[in-house]
Amino acid sequence: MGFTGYAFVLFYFGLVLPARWLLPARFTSWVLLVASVVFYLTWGWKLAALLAVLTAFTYGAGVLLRTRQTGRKGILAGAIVVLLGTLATFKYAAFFASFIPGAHVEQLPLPLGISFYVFEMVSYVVDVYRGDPGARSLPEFALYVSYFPHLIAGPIVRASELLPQLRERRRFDSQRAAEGMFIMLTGFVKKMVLADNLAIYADAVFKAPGTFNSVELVAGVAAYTAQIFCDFSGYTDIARGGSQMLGFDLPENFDYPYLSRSITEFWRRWHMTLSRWLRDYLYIPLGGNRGGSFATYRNLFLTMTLGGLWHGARITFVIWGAYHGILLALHKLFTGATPQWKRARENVLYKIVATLGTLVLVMIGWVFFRAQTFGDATAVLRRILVAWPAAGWKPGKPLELAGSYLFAVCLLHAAGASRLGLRTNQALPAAARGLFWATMVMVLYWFASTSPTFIYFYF
Amino acid sequence: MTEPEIDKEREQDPEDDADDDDAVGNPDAFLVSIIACIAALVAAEVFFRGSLLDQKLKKDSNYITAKALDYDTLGGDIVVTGDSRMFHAVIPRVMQQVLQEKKGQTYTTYNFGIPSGTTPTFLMVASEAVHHKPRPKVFIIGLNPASFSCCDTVSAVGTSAGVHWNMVPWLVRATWRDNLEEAGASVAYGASRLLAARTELAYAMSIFSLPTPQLVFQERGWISLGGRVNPEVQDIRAVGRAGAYADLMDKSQGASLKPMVPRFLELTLELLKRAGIKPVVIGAPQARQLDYFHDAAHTYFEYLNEVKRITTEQNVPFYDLNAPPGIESADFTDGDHLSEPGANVFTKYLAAEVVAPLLP
Repeated sequence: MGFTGYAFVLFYFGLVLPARWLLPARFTSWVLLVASVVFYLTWGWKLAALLAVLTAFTYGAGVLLRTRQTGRKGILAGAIVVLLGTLATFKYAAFFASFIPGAHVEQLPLPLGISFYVFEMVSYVVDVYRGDPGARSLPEFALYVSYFPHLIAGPIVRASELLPQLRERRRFDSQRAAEGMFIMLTGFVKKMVLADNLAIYADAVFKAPGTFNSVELVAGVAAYTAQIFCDFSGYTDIARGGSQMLGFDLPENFDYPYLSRSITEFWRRWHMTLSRWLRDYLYIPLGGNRGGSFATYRNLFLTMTLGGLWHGARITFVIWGAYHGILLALHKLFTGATPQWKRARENVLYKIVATLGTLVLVMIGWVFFRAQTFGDATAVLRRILVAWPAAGWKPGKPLELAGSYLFAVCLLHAAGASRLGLRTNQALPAAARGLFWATMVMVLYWFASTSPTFIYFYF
Repeated sequence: MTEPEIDKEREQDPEDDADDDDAVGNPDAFLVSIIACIAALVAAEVFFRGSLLDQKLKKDSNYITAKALDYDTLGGDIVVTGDSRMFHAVIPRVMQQVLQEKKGQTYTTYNFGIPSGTTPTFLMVASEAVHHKPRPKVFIIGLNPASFSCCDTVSAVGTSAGVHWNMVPWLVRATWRDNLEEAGASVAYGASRLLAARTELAYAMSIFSLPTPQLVFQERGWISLGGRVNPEVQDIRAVGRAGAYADLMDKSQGASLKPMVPRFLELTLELLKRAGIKPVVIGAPQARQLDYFHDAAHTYFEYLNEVKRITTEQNVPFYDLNAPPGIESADFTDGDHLSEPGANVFTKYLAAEVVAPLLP
């Protein structure tokens, strides 16, 4: 059951939302747990069984870490090895075996959401080791992990963020629910109208780059750049909006990252919960910036390379991560807090150039992220430089269509960054707000393309 | 201003606090918004259903709806469906002449072939036939082998507009086991014309006009593709089409028979038989260049076996007219669309050998 299908709409609005608010508050956790289990079971019972086993294991490790006085380090290490080992077995065994001459390991099917829930489980055991009280019971922990809005593709939530909310008795709040509804509808529009329509052009370009000229290739890369943002932030919006209507806040994952003026800022605004996880559970344990400049750059590079690998067992993801690691290190190396830099940053021209420059660097990275092989990625980049359009060339209909959706994404950034939609939604009287939502549904009716899945489901 | 700053500002404003207090714990405002949203959508639906725009879109921009309106007026003792191969291959006038000679009675034919038609489309056409008064006596379904490994969705462009509420139970029966979302889509399309016609509407909006040229059928749903083409041109076109079809059926590229396609065909046959209409299944004709994918590397033989299984189980006649007598490659304008002379020969054969034995 995907977020953008009719089954989910019926499941959420017809069953879960009414049950959440109409049944007595003492049943809330059970309603949500049952809903989450049903939601995940629709993807297959084997996936649910694996999730159940890992949930019980992690909760048990948490109990031991909380109650034992000795051997806690060993328990923590053991739990992390088992959790990351499970992830590695499903996700990376065949990939790493491919580097060993003569070795062959069959690629296992990737359990849906495993990259996300394993990271949440790792953060849980580490936090409990560090003194966090953790979950009070196995059902409570199971709900934290399997809570359906964030189960498949995040945001990556910490137990300390969600558990206190789940324990609180909350009253229905019309304003917050209306805000959640707007966020959810925005997510549907981002995913089904913008991302899925842009995917048509991006897929065509990346499938056969040799048949496109420079302008079309740049448009294809731009289309993918916009697609991946709308796809993933759209998913997050549906998750956050849906959760907010149920009365629980999930952390924001995107803050219009293509408006960033540096690569460092980009990573503060792109997939924020993953960046936060990598910072807290990888970069800082590696030493962070505590060991001098070289160690800082090394740690940044390692963190980002492993972050790239997290996205999938493919060399292009590793290259994408390493590329961002190098960019972050270079940014740290060449920018400082000197008065000259501070002055320069206030300059309008600097802001424009820095924003566009950052976007170009990010787009180059997306070429590696999207391409199946390193050769494919370099072929796209090389062709952009050499395949100039012939004299008299005119953009075709698909490019014009992609251009119109790219323009819509630019408008979305302008409106989203100023929170225009959200402010309008909250300021409108109740009935007018309903008409506003109906308009958004109509936009979905007419312009939605039909792609059943989200890019980040594969990670 | 960032969100936390806005929150801070609101905290400092006593009037805002008062507003918030009113809203907390009170679902009325949210329910009013939801009701207003649903009411607006229902009103839009009702307004659209009765509108001239809906009628024009049905008639002028979608083959299924345009042919349904045309068929509703003209009817037919024999209904022929399939994709564009059948659309151009069966000439109603010729069918009527042959049946008149053979049976001494007038039997009219309606060509309900739909360009890019798929098995979900055939189920929808069958539903139109079942609900027509009088019902047809014979219903011919012409199959394209590639459609068994590619196209099994009602949500496809040009297909959803043909969904009527009375077809929904059958569409759901065909899909719910394999694809719950598809079953949901069928229900949604049946419930909302605005949703079902969304592609046509979006297109009309994008060009600020209705699509032109309008759909006009030459003769009871049929359109001629003209005379024979130069054999060299035919060959080039046919080889190109063979490659495109082969890609859809290439097992090395992951092609396999789609599970819902046989279900759609089974239910189409069941629906027709229940209504007392005699169904007959044929393999649509094709030029010999398309024999290219008749091998184990493609899904062609799996398709044939599956059709034979279904027709045997349903006790429905199946004629593989992939290479019908009297038709040669030069009778096609490309690889699988018959020219008018070719359609003439094919229709005569179809009428005499397939349809006539089924009529009283």
